[in-house]
Amino acid sequence: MSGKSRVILSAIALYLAALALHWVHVSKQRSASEGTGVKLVIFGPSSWDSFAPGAAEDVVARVTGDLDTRFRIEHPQVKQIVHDVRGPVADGLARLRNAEVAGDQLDVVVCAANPVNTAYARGGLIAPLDALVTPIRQRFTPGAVENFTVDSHIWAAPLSAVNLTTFFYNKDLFANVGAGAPKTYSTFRALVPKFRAANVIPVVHQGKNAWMWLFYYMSALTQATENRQVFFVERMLEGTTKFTDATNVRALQLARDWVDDGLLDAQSNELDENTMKSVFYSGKAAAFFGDTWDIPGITSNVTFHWGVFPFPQYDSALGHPEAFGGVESGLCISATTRQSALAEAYIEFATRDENARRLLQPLGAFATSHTNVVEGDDEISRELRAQLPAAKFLDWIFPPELTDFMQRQMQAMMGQTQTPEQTAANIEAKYETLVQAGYVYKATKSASPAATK
Amino acid sequence: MTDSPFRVGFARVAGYAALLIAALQALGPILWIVAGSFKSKADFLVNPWRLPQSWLFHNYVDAFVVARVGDYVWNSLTVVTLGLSILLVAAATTAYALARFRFPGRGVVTVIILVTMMVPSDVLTVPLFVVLRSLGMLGTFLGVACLYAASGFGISVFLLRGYFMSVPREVEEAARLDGASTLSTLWYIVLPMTLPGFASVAVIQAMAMWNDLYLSFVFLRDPASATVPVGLLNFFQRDSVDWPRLLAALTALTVPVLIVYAVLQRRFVEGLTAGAAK
Amino acid sequence: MTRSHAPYVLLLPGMVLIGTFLILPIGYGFWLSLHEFNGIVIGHWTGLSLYRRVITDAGFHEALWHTVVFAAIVVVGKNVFGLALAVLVSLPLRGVRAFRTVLFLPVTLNIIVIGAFWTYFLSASRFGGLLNQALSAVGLQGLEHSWLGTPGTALLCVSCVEIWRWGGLHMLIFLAGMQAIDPSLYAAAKLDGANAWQRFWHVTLPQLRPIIFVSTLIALMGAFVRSFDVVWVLTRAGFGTQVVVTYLYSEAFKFGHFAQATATGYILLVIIAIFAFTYYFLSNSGQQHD
Repeated sequence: MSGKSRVILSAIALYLAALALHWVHVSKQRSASEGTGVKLVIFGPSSWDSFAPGAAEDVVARVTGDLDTRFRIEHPQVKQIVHDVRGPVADGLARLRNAEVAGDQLDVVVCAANPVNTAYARGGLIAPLDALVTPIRQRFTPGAVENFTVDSHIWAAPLSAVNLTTFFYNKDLFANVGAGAPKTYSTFRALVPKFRAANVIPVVHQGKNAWMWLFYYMSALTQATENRQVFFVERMLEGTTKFTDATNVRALQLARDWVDDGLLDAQSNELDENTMKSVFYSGKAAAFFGDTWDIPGITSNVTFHWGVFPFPQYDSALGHPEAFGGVESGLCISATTRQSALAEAYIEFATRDENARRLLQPLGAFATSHTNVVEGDDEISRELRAQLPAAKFLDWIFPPELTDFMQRQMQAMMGQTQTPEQTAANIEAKYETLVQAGYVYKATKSASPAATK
Repeated sequence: MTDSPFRVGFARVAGYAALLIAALQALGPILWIVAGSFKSKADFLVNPWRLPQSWLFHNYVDAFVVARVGDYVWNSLTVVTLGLSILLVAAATTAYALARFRFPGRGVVTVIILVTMMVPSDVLTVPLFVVLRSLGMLGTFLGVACLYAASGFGISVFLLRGYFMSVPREVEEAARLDGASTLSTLWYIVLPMTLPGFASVAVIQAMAMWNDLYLSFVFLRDPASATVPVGLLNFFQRDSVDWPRLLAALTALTVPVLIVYAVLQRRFVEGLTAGAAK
Repeated sequence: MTRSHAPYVLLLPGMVLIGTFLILPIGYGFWLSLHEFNGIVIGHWTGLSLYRRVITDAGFHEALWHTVVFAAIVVVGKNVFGLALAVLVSLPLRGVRAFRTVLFLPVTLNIIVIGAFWTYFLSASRFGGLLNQALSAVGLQGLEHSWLGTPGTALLCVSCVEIWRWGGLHMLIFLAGMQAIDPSLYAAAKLDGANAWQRFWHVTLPQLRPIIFVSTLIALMGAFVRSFDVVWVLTRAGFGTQVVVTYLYSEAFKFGHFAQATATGYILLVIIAIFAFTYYFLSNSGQQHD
């Protein structure tokens, strides 16, 4: 008995000794990283929110380090700049919220336009930047600052490439069936039997990520409303038009046609972004509807000739196709920072043309947030540039609860488990419960005027 | 056995067959993981089910050198050890009190423990922030260890109570008559007799703490403090998941866990008592 | 320490632990759920109106129904599967002990990997789904199906993966309990002429009653409170698999309705309490009190 106790006791003693050593080691690390002088924290809610996102890790580290060095020359009191950029995209909001609730030091936040519009601004996570951005507005391309304008306030200084929704396609597979990039929906549909004969899936989608289905809906709605989609959505949210309106149902049906006509794989709901891309990269599928943020991944993974084409035109009586997107990310200031002057100085510094050029150069983007920074002169960049200006993402206008619901409804509809009419009716019902719970649509200044484009 | 030799033989074959099937369903995914850990990214994406085209060992090296999985392991070990020690002390004493003593408030305590098991951690995020902050334990391993111990407390108490109740009372009475205090009885008599149960509770809770993502994601935000599950999230980079490297890290992490489990399992769960199940 | 003080001294460490880290936060959380709260700023008093909103929300009803179905399948499944495994590795066969480690393996796996494996396994043949490929290989193409993409089968598959995942844990629980059974009971039964199955039914099972109770409790808690991981990783809570905890997560972290999410959590607590206490009383009424 006592022998056993001795063994157990010595094991415990060993553990505690090891723990103590580890504790000493960690606290030494921590105090080494804190020095004297001012510390600035640049926070990225997810791994997508870094400088030069999508570039290789060492490139990101290099451009970030360069920027910080130059900033510290101008502001010598800053001893340390920490970049905390980690985590999956889906957890970004939670990560930011947790950090602020916990009282961590957060000064600058690298933020994407979507969450700024749908969560950060109204959720009190970031502070407005009108005073900083308005005087330097001419640095940015038209529409860039609008992408970060919510409730008549500016919430970020734009700093990123421009991203657009676009189809990506395997040129070799298309050539095998004797086709090039399809301009109209009917041309594309005519290729279905040829693809099937060649045992190729025409189009796949990352259906498991319900939020991506809205791309199809938005593109169809644009044409169904003859390019007055923002106006139409606002009417639906105000309640003057119902979600069961014929035009909206038509848009849903047009999206659904992709599956019914055999163009879009009926089991796309099983694929997330990685599995979908692997199906495309391995040549099993000929095309997918994605966004230009996919380009770095494609260039590093693909072994065939690839290209882009815009969303096809439905029959000519409807509006013309538009690409959605715009300037994707920018620099915000955290609502809990205690060094707002310094944080604003950093943001102003990073968005100066010469610094922005250095940060954006690795992306080789076809268009950026800055008028004086343009890269990318290859054929694909030119094709993409031709699709500008981008239309605003519609899910920034819908309230998040409704967007979430609509995504799930789209998912069910495109999985062929319910009809477009049923989908529209469900969405209308959900909208009505939101209204009963007190939802009122607030027209934001960033909503673009009605019949232009 | 009183059965005929034919039936014994048939039963034995059936037994082995069932065991094999059970082993397959448990091992299948493991084999997939191990095979995947030797592939290149492209190889994995093309067909995750076939054997690797070429057996690459660099994934394992990368996992530890590039992704610094070793740091995460060290952090996890610290937190789990701390949490386990706190939990076992608290749960064993509470379970013993509930198993052997009739006292006023016993029902109330049981109910309270049951109720605390029913609240999902998400709900308690903000309150826990407040509590930890006022205790000065925010962002510390000790804080998270206490949270782990608290969340595993209910299950452990009920399990241990069940095992303690199966100890024959006469043995304890004898010790009591010899003048042993309650704590001594617990430590010297009851625990050794319920070692299989105690060890299995320890193993189960250690697993839960090791694999916990939510609490460490929320409360250990410093990258230097990241535990294994949080660290593994870093594999999910912007444009692609480096599956083979992730699988290599997971295989490397699972093997020592399994060895420890196997050793503990033989030593303790087998039981020092001679009883086999039949 | 006197005898009469013994239980209270024993209870001290545990009560301090959960008092600080569970009971206090639960109370504070309840107080928070009576206000408007977005995670950072506490707004004005709303009383129980948030609770009313949650109870009348169709999304909550749907999530609750899914959770109940899921729990029913999983609780039965985990117990049966765990018990079967425990019996299997206790058979008097040579080399049976090695299997105890092997069968525990799924419990040690990281949820991310579990998700990756099973989503690949259950996907369509053309996407590399082994199950569907196997079905068509043996000529059962008609049974090929979008397992995780169809409401109905999705919830069933998620339940099965959950049972698969935790079978080894319940096996361990039952094994430890079986070790404690007095061998003389078996000897006596053998003398009475009982065969293997009768010994199991009349000796093993009754002796395991307290263990079965705990095992069921654990499975019940797991299904209601800790089911987030497995659902999220397999279906992202779509296709009819939204359970209360994923609903809660959306409310809190997607929409910022922290107070409403907290209210949902407490409603869940009440529901589980009803289930658990019913089970507790039913099971204790048949059991001897010690």
